[in-house]
Amino acid sequence: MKKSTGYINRDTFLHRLNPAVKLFSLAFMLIAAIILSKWYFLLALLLAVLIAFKTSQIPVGLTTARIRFLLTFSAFILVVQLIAVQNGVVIFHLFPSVGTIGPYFPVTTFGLERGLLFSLRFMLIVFSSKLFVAVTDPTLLAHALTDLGLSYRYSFALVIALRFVPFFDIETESVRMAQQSRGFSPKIGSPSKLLRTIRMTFYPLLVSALSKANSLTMSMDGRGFGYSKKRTYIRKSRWRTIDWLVLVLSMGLLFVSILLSIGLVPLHPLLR
Amino acid sequence: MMHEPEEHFLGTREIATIAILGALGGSLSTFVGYLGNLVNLALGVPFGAGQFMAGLHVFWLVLMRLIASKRGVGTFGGTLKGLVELFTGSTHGVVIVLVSFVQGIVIDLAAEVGGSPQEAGARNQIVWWFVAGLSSASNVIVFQIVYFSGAPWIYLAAITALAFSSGAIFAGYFAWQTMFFIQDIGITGFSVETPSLPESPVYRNIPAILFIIFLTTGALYYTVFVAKPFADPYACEITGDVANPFIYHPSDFIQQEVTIEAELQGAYTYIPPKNYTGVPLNILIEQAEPSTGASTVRVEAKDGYSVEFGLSVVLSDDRLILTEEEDSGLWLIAAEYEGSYWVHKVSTILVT
Repeated sequence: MKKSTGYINRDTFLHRLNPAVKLFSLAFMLIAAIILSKWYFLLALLLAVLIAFKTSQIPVGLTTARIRFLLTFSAFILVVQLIAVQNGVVIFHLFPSVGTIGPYFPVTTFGLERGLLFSLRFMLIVFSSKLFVAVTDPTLLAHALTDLGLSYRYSFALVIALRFVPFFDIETESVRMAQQSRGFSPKIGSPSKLLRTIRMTFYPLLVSALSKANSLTMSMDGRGFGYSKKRTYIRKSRWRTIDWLVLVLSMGLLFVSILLSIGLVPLHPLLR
Repeated sequence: MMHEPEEHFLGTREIATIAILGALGGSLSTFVGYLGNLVNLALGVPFGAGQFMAGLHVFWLVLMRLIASKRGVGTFGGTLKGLVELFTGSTHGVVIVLVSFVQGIVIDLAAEVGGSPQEAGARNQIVWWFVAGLSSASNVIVFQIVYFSGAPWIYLAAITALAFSSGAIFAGYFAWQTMFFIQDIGITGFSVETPSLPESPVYRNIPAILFIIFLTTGALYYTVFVAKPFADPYACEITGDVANPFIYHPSDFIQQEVTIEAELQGAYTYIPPKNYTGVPLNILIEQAEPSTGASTVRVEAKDGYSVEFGLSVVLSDDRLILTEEEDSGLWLIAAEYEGSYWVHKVSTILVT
């Protein structure tokens, strides 16, 4: 069976942190990155995330198709901004002056700043999320959420959902092969063709999913799921002093970014 | 020790159904998201083109809300589906949880207006289609808030409309069709009664006809009265701490136009001295009647760039003019300033 999530089991500092702390820290960091829109701030955060990859023994996966795709996409965002933005100090022209022709497509300081801002923000969101997924055991995350007061009935839904992802990967492949053997080839040329393709692939999957939901319900009911207010766990997430410290630090990052963005703490002139 | 069974907001069947559909929807949505990004790259745009499939993400949320007909199922299901997408490698990372959460909230609102499948009349489906469209379009807004791409509004409007239509078709219409399908095949434990439309083709197509009329009327209204894309592109708003804010059109100030000679001396670029004709900024500011407390003038461009001048300096500077740049927009010629103060595509002059 294929691996369903990106979790990579290691014994490092980030792996040991409470999953809820990791979730909150991720949220605080990304909110800070949106509030304080400075490319160097985002670059510093991105570098910190990349260092965290290294210390957590998680491969960044620069050679994988997915990451290459994301980097291409980031570069694309940068280039679009460079071309689209005309204002600011012109650094050079993408198409220099040749005789009486040109120059065209000026690259300006403002365009570069905006391009870096958007592409770095995109990379920060993607890489920090990838790191979070890689160092967070979903089952422990569900427990951590329960620990914070969420009913285990709902946090358990996350565990069920992630557990069934590989099953549906296999099921999708089976449906695709079954339809292929009947001579059906998916087409998306027009809305009607797309609808037909979806119907031919979604419906068998849906029937399978609902049947699974039915048998799962009976199984859960049979084991008394939801009967008691409390549930026992084999593996539990824990809160330690270091978790509180990380939480306070990430909240501090958010707080400082708010102060800087509204001007209560002045930025150094070089950083404005 | 025996416990008394508790009353729960969602029963075990509903939780299992939402979890299973969240798993299926989340894993397929990750794939659909990749397809969307490939379409974007293929068409040479950073985002947007893949929005024609946006409704496929919302389809699962509508289906969950129709099957498990309880308040909050959309929001819960949306969050869960977003988490599945996050853990299965969505290209948008944790932002996808926020997007899916917002889509779920909108679906819950739809259910309040449109009613559950058991309660809703056949024609109330149109409400579901409409809100499914809104739910689908909400992703554009959330992504803009998070990424702030600075894309032109016309492009954003186009992809929002695309996402809306996709949502109405794939999440609204198709989810209801799926409910009929579930009813027809009779899967054990899922006997959701869905109101069927009358057999007559006219009746069957009434929602679609109404929907098309609504979209056409809405698009026309937006185009003519809200977006005004045909309005003079050489216009800018003069606003802020002024008694008389107005929209500047060069044709209204032809009498006040002056011609000055200026040279652009940038850090890396140079435009030799040449003549520029336009209206001095001080005339426009005086027309707006700044308040006594105002002290600065901020000139903002459509791409988000801005420069700031002192109000008193602007009022005494006759060589700071707004000219019309060919095939582009208004261009601020700041003859006494370095190149970075020459702002292209001026959109707003803000007095503060």
